[in-house]
Amino acid sequence: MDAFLVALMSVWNDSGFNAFTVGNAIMMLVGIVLLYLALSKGFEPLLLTPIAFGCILANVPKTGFETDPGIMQVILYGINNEVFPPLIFLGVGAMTDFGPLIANPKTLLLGAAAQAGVFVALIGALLLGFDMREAASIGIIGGADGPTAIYLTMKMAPHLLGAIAVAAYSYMSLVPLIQPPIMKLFTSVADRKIVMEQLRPVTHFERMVFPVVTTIFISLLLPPVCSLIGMLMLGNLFREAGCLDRLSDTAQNSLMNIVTIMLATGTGLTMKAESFLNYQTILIICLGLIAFAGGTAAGVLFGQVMKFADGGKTNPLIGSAGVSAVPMAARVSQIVGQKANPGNFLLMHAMGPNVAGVIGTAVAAGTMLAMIGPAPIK
Amino acid sequence: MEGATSNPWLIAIINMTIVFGVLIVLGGIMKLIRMFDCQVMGTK
Repeated sequence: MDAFLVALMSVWNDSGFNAFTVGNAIMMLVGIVLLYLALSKGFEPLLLTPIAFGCILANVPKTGFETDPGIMQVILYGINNEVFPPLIFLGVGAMTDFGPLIANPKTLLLGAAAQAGVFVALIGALLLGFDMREAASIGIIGGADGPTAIYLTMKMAPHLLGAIAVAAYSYMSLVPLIQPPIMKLFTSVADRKIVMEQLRPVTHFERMVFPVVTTIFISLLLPPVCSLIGMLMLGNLFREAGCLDRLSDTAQNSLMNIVTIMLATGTGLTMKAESFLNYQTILIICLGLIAFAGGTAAGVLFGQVMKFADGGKTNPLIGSAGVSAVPMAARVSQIVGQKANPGNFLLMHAMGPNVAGVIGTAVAAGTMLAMIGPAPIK
Repeated sequence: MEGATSNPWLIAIINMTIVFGVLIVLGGIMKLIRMFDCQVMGTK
């Protein structure tokens, strides 16, 4: 009987229940709520499901994920060493048509204007007591670009990764709810009814040269974001080359799915109770919303400026797509525009600022890295 | 440039200027590509 009890005690002592805390229980509950939102409510299920499951796994004590060799170590290596964000960008590049941007280069300005949200949140975070690197990482949520947010956070404030990634992806999934009221606030019904001229066709030559030249220019200017921009443009080159269909197909399907699973699960694995359950997380979630709303407002307001500058040819609604979130933000522009005028097709016009937003967020991240510098290695 | 300033307003202004500058230059590059395509490659 004694031997049985000793064995039983040994199993208990080695079990996770022995070290399970209230914090772990709360975080598992958070994971379950996120799972519910993803699977039952359809909020970015491809991303939120692995994030939520990773969150549950991260809060099982004594798993040895951070110390013992295995798949979790591989995933955490990919997160900690910025392997996954550039690979996601490869897939995004392969999936995205840069044609609308090339056809109408002035929409680049909308992508730049929408980055204002990043700095609204940055200043807000500093006022709330975050240090400069933490504030920069929080601000980048306003770019609505998950991979760039993760990339910058891992370089500048890795301890905030869980909160920032969850805020970024949650708000990206809520784009159809967050953006329309702001878009309507800054536009009149007449503005929303504006029908834009059809875009000119873009030649194969332009589609091939643009990614190469953009990579060289931005990488030379901001080497820290070379891997992000380079992979984005390489993916697009796969798409446009015409003779790389196999690579394009892999980048936008199989590879994208594999890396999404790893990146999202790895992000969830960073949501441990001891680093996530604190006052800072609540502030980050609030600041992320401010960043998102600020970026949307700035994009639409700059759209108004462009409308006045070109004599009413630009529909200011496309400005909101400057916050990245490809292609959902562009779809929101289309939906809001079509509600005002059923014959209005803004999707392709909004893809210009949408792609510009991806490039603009990467440039903003690279500039902040150059100005503030990465966190010192401990 | 690292550690050049810790003034958040200055960081925001410089950063926005660089973002706008880079994207404006990109716009210029796109126009140059278009011109090259039309003039040299002979695309109509």
